Amino acid sequence: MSSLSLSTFTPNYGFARTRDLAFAAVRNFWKLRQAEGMTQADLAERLGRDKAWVSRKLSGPTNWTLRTFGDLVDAMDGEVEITIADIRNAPSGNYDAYADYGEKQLEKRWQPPQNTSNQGSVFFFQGASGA
Amino acid sequence: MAAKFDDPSSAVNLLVGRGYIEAALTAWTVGDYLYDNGRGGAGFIKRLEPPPPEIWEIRITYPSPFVRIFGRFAEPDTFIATDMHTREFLGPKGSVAWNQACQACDAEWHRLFPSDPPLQGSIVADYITENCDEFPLP
Repeated sequence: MSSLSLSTFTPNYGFARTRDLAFAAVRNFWKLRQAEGMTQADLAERLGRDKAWVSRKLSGPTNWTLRTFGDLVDAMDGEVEITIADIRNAPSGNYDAYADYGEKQLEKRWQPPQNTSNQGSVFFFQGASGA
Repeated sequence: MAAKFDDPSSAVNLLVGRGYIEAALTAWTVGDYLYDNGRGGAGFIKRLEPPPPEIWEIRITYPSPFVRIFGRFAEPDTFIATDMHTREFLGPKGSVAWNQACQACDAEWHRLFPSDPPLQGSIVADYITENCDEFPLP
């Protein structure tokens, strides 16, 4: 089966990935604040925005800017900490999503049927959730 | 799908850009948290209305035009992508292009795995076991 062929630099990848990570971090932090009783209306009031704007921004990173990210974090009484990982020595290409699987989990692993005429035409995307 | 992904002149790469697609696939494969869209529906991934059954789409919702990666689950956390299209190409839900894309996914699955049905479930956790919001399935 074909594996994803990652290039060293792909235009827009860094931008999209960074925005996804920023959104995930804000969304995660928002869940904490929600559990403490903060509402979207509270956020909207702090930001001087309408609730619909807050709802849109917390539902996905579409049209997010650096200002969106910073303002949301600040309004939630958060502080951004940024680290950059050096991926030069990180494994690329054939990432082994089963690396942390135990023996019993590996026994249950789904195996694609042997169908050599279709080799190279399908991507298998294994979520790394530890299942 | 591999051909479309690797071909810099494919519609999805020309109109959307491989970088955005790659970023979405990275989010899936490294186990990023997958959020619903806050409206009780799917954000990153969604099961489509049957027929055919068990067709899912990974939804890349920026930039515009958006991209949809069609596929099915072989087992929990294992998504088999069969094709991808721009949202513009698909048109409104229920359109001919949309229905054809779903049928093509079904046909590709049966071509590849003639004796293996896709995973069937009733809640999101049946398909994605961790790091994903629950959202309603059609």
